[in-house]
Amino acid sequence: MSATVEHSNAGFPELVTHKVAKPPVKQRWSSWFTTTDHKKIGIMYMVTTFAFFLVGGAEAMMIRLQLGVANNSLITPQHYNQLFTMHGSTMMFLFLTPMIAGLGSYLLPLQIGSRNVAFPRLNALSYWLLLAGGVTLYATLFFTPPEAGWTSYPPLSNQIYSQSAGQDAWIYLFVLTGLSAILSAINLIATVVNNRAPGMSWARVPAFTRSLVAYSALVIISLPVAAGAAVMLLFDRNYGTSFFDPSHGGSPSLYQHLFWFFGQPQSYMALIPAFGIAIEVLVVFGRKTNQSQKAVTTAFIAAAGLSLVTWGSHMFTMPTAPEVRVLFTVLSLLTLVPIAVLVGACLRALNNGSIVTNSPLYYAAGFVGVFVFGAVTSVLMQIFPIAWQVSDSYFMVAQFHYTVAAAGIFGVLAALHYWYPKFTGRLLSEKIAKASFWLIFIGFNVTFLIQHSLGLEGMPRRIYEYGTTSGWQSENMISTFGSFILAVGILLATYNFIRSASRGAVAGPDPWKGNTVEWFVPSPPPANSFDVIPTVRSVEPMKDIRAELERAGAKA
Amino acid sequence: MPIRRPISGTLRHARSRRYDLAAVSSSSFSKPRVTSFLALAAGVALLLAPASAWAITAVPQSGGSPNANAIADLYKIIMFFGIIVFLGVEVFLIRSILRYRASTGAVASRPTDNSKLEIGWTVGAVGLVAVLAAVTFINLPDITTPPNGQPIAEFAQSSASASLVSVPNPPDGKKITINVTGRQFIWRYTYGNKLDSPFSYTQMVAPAETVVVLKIQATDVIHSWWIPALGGKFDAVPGSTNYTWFKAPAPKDAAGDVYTGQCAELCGRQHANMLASVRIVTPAAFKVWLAAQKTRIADANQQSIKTRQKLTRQGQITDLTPPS
Repeated sequence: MSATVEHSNAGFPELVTHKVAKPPVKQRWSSWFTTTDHKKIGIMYMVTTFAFFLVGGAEAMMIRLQLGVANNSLITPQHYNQLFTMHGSTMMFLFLTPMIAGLGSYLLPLQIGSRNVAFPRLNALSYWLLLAGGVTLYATLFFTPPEAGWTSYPPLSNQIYSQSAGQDAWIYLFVLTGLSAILSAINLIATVVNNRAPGMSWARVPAFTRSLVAYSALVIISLPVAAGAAVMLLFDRNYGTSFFDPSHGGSPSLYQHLFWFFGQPQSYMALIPAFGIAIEVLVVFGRKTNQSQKAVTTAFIAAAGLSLVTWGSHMFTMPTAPEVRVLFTVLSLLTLVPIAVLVGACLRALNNGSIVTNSPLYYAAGFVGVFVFGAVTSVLMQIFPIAWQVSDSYFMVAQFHYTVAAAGIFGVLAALHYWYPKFTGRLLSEKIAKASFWLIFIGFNVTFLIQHSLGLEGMPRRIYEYGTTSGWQSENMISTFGSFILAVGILLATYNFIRSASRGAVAGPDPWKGNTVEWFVPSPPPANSFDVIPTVRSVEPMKDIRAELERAGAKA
Repeated sequence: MPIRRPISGTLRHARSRRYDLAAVSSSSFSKPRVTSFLALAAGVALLLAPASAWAITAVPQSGGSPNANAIADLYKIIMFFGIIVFLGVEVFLIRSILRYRASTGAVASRPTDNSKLEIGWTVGAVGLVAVLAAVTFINLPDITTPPNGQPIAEFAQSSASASLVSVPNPPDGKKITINVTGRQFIWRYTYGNKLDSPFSYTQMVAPAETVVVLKIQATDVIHSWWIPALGGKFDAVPGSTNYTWFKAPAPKDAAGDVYTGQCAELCGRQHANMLASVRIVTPAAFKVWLAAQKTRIADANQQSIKTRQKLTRQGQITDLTPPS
C-alpha cells in the first residue's frame, strides 16, 4: 500500500503501525483560516469555546459579586439581566454544544481510524459559523446586549418589552450556532458511518464516539425545531407576525414547547458525551475492559430518545391539563433508568480495577460524583408537584449546574486532560492538574450546594437583589465565596494548558496506555494522521497492538 | 483486505525511550493520595451535616396550606430514596478508588460477561422509578384537591366553566375565588368579578380556614405566582388562566399571619422587586377588611373626581369628563 513502510520480517503479519516520519512542512499562520484538517479545526473549536467558557465564567463571577450581599448596588438591574442572559447563552450555545462538536471534530476521526471527517470543508464551515454566532452576540457589548434570559421567552422578548436590537442579535446567535451544530452533527454521523477503519464493526466503535453519535442525532432532530421558533420570534419582532403574541391570537406557551423540545435534549447533548468521556477515561485508568459496551450503547440511545419526549418537564407551572403533567412526569422519571445504567458502567470501570490515579481520572470520577447529586435533585424537578415549589428558584439553578454544568466543567476538563497529550504532544503538569481539580471540586460544591437551600427558602432565579429581611445573606455570601475558589481552579487549569504546551514533558503517542486507535498515531498527529490505518480486531485495538509489540519484543 | 505489514521499523520505534509503550508504569505518575480522598469524604460528610448546623433549608416551605404540607411530605419521601442512592454510589465510587490502586498492587479483574449485573441494575432502576411514581400519585390528590373548608356564604362561587386547565374544587364545592393579575412589576388582587369589586396591590388579604382558589392571569409578560408556604408556583401567562388554591390555618393574632413570596418568572428589569404577600385573617376580620377596602376605594375615587373637577375648573386639564 504505502511505499514508505518497510517490508522485512514476516513474523508479525497482523501488526500494522505508523512508521514514517514525514518531513515537517512549514505552515503559514494563514493556514488556520484555510484549513480543512479536522485536527486543526478541532483545535480552533476547542480554543474558541474554551475562551467563551472563560468569558461566560467572568460574567458568572460578576453575577455572584452582585448577589454576595443584600441590596447590592454594584450592578444596575439592566446590566444584571444582560449578564445572566449573556452567561447562559454563552455557556449553552458557545461553550457546551460546540465544545463537544470540537472534541468530536478532533477525536472522532482518530478514534475510528479515519484521516479526516467525511466532509472536511463542511467542518470548516461549521467552525466559522460558530465563530460568526459568537461574534454576533458579543458585538452587542458595544450596543445593548439582550436581557430576556438565555431562554428568551416571549412576550418579554418581543418588540414591545425588549426593544433593543440585542434581542435580535440573540436570535442570530441561536440560528448561526444552531446551523453550525447541525452541519457538524451531520458530518460526525457521516464520518462514523463511512470512514471506520477496516475491522471496526459497529460493535467495536469506542464509547466516546458512540456518545457523539447520540449527541449528533439529538442535534439533528431537535435543533431545527427551536431554530424555527427563534426565526418565528424574529418575524414577530420585526415583521408584524404574531406567532407568540396572545393579543393577536398567538401563544406564548407555543414558544416554550418549541424551545424546550430542543432545550431538554440540549442537556443530554452535554451529558451523554460527558458519560462517553467518563467511561473511556475510567476504563483506561482502571486498566479494565469496557464490559458494559452494549448496556452503555442502549443507555445512550434510551437517554437520547427520552430526552426528545420530556420537554414538558420544563413547563409544569404553565397552564396545562393535569394529564399532560402526569405524562411528562412519568416519561421524565423513566430517564432515570438509562442514567442509572451509565452511572453503573462508570462504577464498574473502577471496581476490581488496577487504578492509575492521574488527573483525567480525577476529573472523570469528579464528574460522576457530582452528577449523582444532580441526578437526585433532577428527580425532584421531574415530579410536577415538587417542581411547583423548586422550579425557577435557586434550587433549580443548583440542579442544572450539578448536571449540565458538571458535564461542562468536569466532563469537558476530563476530556481535555485526557487527550491533551494527543493534541499537543506534551503532558500536563500533574501537580497543577490535581491542585486545580481540588479547587474546582471544592469551589463547585461550595458555590452550588448551598443554592438548593436558597431556592427552598424562596429565592427565585434571575433577581438582581434581595432585601435584608429575606434571610438569604449568609448563604449567598458562601455561594459567592465558593465561586471564587471555582474561578481560581479554572484559571489554574487554564494556566496548566498554556504552560504545558511548551514546557510539558514529551508525551509520546500513548502516555496513558489507551485502548483506542487515536493513541496509535504520533502526538500531535501528522496532517494525514494515519500513514497506515490499523486493522481493528477488538473493542480495544490498542491493547492488541501493545500485546503484539510486546510479543515482537520478546522474540527479538 | 486488512493491511498486513511487517513491523521491524515499528519495533525500533517502540523501543526508543520516547515511545516506550510498555514501560509506562503507573508509579511514574503519582503516588497514592489517600489523604486527599479522606478530605473529600470529610467534605461530603460536612456538607451533609444536619441542616441546623448550617442554618440551611433542606425541605420546601410548608405550614400555610395543606397542599404546601403535602408537597413537603412528598419531597421528603422522594429525597429519602435519593439520599440512599446518592450515598450508595458515592461510597462505592470512593471505596473503589481507594481500594483498587495499581500502586497498592491491585490487579485488574479479567473481563467477565456480567449481563446478570446489568439486567439487575436496570430492573432495580425501573423498580425505583415505579416506586417514585407510585408515591407521587398516591400523594397527588392531597396536593391538587382542596379539602372542605369553612364556607363563607357571601363569597361562595360556583365552579368555573369547563376548561382544560382543571380548577381546584373542594368536595363540598364551597370556596372563594380571588383573581390574581400580574403585570410589570406589581401583583393586583381583585376580590370578586364585578366592576366595583374591591381590589388591592402587592398584599392579598384572605380568610383563614377557607378554601381560597386563585385565578391567575397576566396583562403584559409572563409572571409566576409563588408564596412558598402556601404551595407551589403557577405562571401568570397573558392570554391564559392558571389556577391554584390554599387553605390557611387560623391566624395567631388579630393582625393576621403574613406569608411572603415574589414573582418567580423573569418579567423585566425590576423582576426582583415584584414582591407578593398574603395576610391571613379570620373570616370575620376578612369581611370587615373587605368592606373597609371598598369604602377606601370609593373615597379615593371621590377624591380623584374632586381633584379632576378642580383641575378642570382651573383649566389645567381638559377633555376629561369625570365619572358622575
